[in-house]
Amino acid sequence: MASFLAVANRKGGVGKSTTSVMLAHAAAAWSGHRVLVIDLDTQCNASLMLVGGEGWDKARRTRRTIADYLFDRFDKVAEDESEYVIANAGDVSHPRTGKGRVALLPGSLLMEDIQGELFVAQARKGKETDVVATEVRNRLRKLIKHFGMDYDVVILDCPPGLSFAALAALDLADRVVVPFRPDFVSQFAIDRISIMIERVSTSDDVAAIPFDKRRYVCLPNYLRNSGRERLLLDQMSLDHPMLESRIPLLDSVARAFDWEETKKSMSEKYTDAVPHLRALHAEVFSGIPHSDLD
Amino acid sequence: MSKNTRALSGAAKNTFLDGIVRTALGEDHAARERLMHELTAAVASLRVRMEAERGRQSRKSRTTETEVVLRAPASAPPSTPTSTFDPYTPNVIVVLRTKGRDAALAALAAVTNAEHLRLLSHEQQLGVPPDVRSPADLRLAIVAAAERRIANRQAAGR
Repeated sequence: MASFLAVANRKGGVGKSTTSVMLAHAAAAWSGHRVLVIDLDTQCNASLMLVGGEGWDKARRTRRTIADYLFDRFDKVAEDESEYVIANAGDVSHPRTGKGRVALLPGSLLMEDIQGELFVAQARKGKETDVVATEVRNRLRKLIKHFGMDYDVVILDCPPGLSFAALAALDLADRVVVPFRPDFVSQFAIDRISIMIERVSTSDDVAAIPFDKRRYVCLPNYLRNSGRERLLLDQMSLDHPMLESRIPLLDSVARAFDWEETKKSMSEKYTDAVPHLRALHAEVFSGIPHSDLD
Repeated sequence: MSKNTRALSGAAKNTFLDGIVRTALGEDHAARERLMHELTAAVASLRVRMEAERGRQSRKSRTTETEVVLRAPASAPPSTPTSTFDPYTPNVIVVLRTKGRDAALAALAAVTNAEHLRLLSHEQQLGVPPDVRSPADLRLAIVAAAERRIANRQAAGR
């Protein structure tokens, strides 16, 4: 069964999709893992980064998105789900070994609508709404978990909002990476999502959990190494576990958003961000066995 | 628009300014921070000579001429003495939370200049009333602001 890694933060613009894609490429290229990215965000940025606009549009037109999968399979016995997956996604591939390719379950603009429809359909069966909400969330968790059979790592790129799918992803995740920009409001955002990830009621409850027992870890992102950033990082480190890795504000990371048809190596794609990605990769995937050590 | 110039705004503008400030001030981190703060508040956009931008990028040229469009800063930080005071040390909230109020006041006691205390207050976003003037009162006001900020965050986490 795969390790499920969610990348989540309720705050937008913190680099969730970029982090998801970087981690996917790194795990595939440097660890030889079989990696699937599930794009749960209606913005679909991870999908655009991994298959480009045309590839994503084709997935929509042929009903190969996460929304189609959940809608089609909600009331059915799980079957072969691979038809929804684009196997050769991403624009990284080692020139000799071919490693670096990742699989993608594309995102959908209709993700929120579909979840609403599923909820309404279940509610019409006469159950209490909170019971229905729990059932929908649990069913989505099981459907997403089904992909774990075929991969070593499944990366769940979560939306900023709190949809059933996002909650299901947080339930399912073995570990949650929380990217953030160190600014004043980010403290509140991390306080809030840590409560949800640890399934407790308040920040005080989270504080009672030792750092090494928490499922989440925070990733400082888009750093400019300013004094204010360092100040806030020191303050946030009092309350939340932090990765030692830091992702600076680099053009190379911003450029990595652009998908290209031609496959390239990690060094060609991420250029001067590679040392930072190496450190991040080593930290995040240290506990996951390699499926292929070559 | 001239082919020899390029308009910069937002992050590109800040990156360009940061490069100039780094070149000019080297490792004087506190001074760099102060100057960047003022520049980003005051400068809305730049028109940069391509020659200057290329020169900066290649580090071969020190040409930094720019035409700037200025606007009044929304809130200027306190005027700053010229020494290399680091307004991020001590980290008042961290000291307060880990060692307590007395320790925070003791750490601030090392900062004796009222202007430095005002700058620290500004940079650490621990606002103090404008009528507080003496260093001792400023220290008390900074710690009080830090206590309010901690309480504010705790309230949001309930």
